[in-house]
Amino acid sequence: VPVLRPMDLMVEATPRRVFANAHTYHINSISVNSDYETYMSADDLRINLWNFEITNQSFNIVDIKPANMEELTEVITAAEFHPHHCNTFVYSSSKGTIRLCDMRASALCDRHTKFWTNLPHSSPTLEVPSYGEGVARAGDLQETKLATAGLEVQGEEPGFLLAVVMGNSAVPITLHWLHQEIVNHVSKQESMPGVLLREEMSAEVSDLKPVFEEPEDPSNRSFFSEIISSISDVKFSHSGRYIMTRDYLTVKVWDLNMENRPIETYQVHDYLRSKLCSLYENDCIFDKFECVWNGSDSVIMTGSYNNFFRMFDRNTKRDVTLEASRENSKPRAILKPRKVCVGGKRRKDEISVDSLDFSKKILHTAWHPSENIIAVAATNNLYIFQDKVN
Amino acid sequence: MMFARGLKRKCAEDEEAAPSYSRQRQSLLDMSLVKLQLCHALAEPSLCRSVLIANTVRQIQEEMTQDGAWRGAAPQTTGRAPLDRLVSTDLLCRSVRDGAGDGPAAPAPRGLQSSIWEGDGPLEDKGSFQKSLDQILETLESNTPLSVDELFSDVDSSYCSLDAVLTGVVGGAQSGQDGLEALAAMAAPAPSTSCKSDLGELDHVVGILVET
Repeated sequence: VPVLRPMDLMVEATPRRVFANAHTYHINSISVNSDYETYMSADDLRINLWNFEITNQSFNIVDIKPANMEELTEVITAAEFHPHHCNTFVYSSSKGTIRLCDMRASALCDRHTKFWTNLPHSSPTLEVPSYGEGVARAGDLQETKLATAGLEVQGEEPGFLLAVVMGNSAVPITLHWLHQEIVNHVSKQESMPGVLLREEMSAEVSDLKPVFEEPEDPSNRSFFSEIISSISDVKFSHSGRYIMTRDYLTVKVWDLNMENRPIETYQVHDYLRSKLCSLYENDCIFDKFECVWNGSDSVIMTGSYNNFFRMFDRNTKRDVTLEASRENSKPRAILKPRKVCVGGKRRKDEISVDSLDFSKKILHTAWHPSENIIAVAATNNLYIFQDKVN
Repeated sequence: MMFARGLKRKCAEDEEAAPSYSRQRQSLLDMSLVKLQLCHALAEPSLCRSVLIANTVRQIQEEMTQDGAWRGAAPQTTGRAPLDRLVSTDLLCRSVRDGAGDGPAAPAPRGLQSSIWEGDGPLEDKGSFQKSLDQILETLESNTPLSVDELFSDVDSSYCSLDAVLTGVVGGAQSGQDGLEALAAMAAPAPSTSCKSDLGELDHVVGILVET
């Protein structure tokens, strides 16, 4: 008969390097850059860039501290580098905004960076293959024209491309509504001294302010609206095309190319909406939940209370609530889906909102980058779950 | 969840059974102010949490001003912390301008309201409230840094000096002062390596807020 033998947990952690003294406020995020040479650390008011080899110096890239602390109404809550573009990162705020920054555009990324934007034509063709390649300060911007000879797109409204001259080379820019083949053609070019634009097309370059924010629904406003809109976590998808944000009651997926609203919103525990005042009183409303993508960006996961965690399948739109708890599941048994009963008759196995244990919160979760293995932190226990092995 | 079903309530029921919107709002304000004061007592004081609570307080204050309801000196009530006035949460969680029995103009409960608030000159009290709120934020800032030695030992000197200026840590000891000047000095706190002196300053802040 198998015997469960409890072992004392032995963990010994020794610091390999200490990067000290660059933060005055609590650090909420660190993110390794795709160049594997630098990383950033973010606190409530500042974000610093480090080089792994240099432990006594960092470069400040975002600073939102007001000159007068009395004017402080917003703090940084999370930050992350883009998975592929080593100059791009996002940071989220306590007011529910997400800011996308490009370190090439300005040394201090608290100004809005300038990106290419909406074009007069609104004919979406294929998905934009990459984002934000080649950005210049407004003053450096020189519009050039692209040769489109031989790149006629059959049967679709033709797109077009601009190249930006930065220094001595032209950098191809990808824009909205762009045909994949044109981009591929251009990106093979080493340098383009000058290119021709199709006469009937003209592009307007205007400022795209990459601040992602969903407009507030005035009918839903309450004193807690701002608090529950505060973003506790922001994560790029593995593809780099999307951002996911977690606020108190929802998880939202944003397309980098559309900043006025998220493309998907998932309710994590909407039954708490009518309990916000109690949750404010006991401080639970300030809990910071994380969120994660699976390896293929098709499923997202986040934690909740009562040792529950939730998974949402973005394709099938199905969701499941699972529990990380030793009492309620045996090792190697398949997790049973849970359900919270929101009113009316409570079925067997359902849990009513009022019996949820708010001290058992799952704030931290992780998903293996390629396998279906997840790690879930429930108070002082770490659970590792994997797909059923046949 | 009677409000959710939109049942009409009589005025008498309003006073006895369900707390009015303005009562709940006042409770929320009181609770928020207590939270702000006590945030130093948390194991991990959080600037984010404090900023969110302070913003909530401002929102309530603004709405009360619009309603013409702002008259009392909020700091007066914080010392007493009437948390027993905090009642069911449903009402406050609903959208602000919902017809939650009161209606946006709130004509009926105004009679109740005038008895809830005490205090004189509205502007004067509002000013002192705002000042107290700001002072709380200032002390928050001053309490998050570590001791001077730890903080600035290895840092690049240009970055270090800018930050030193902003947090005023290099500003020198100012522990001898009394009254509001001490509070102002907290914006440039003394480099303190002892928790005890920090706590002493805290008591000072709380004392001043309660007395205001």
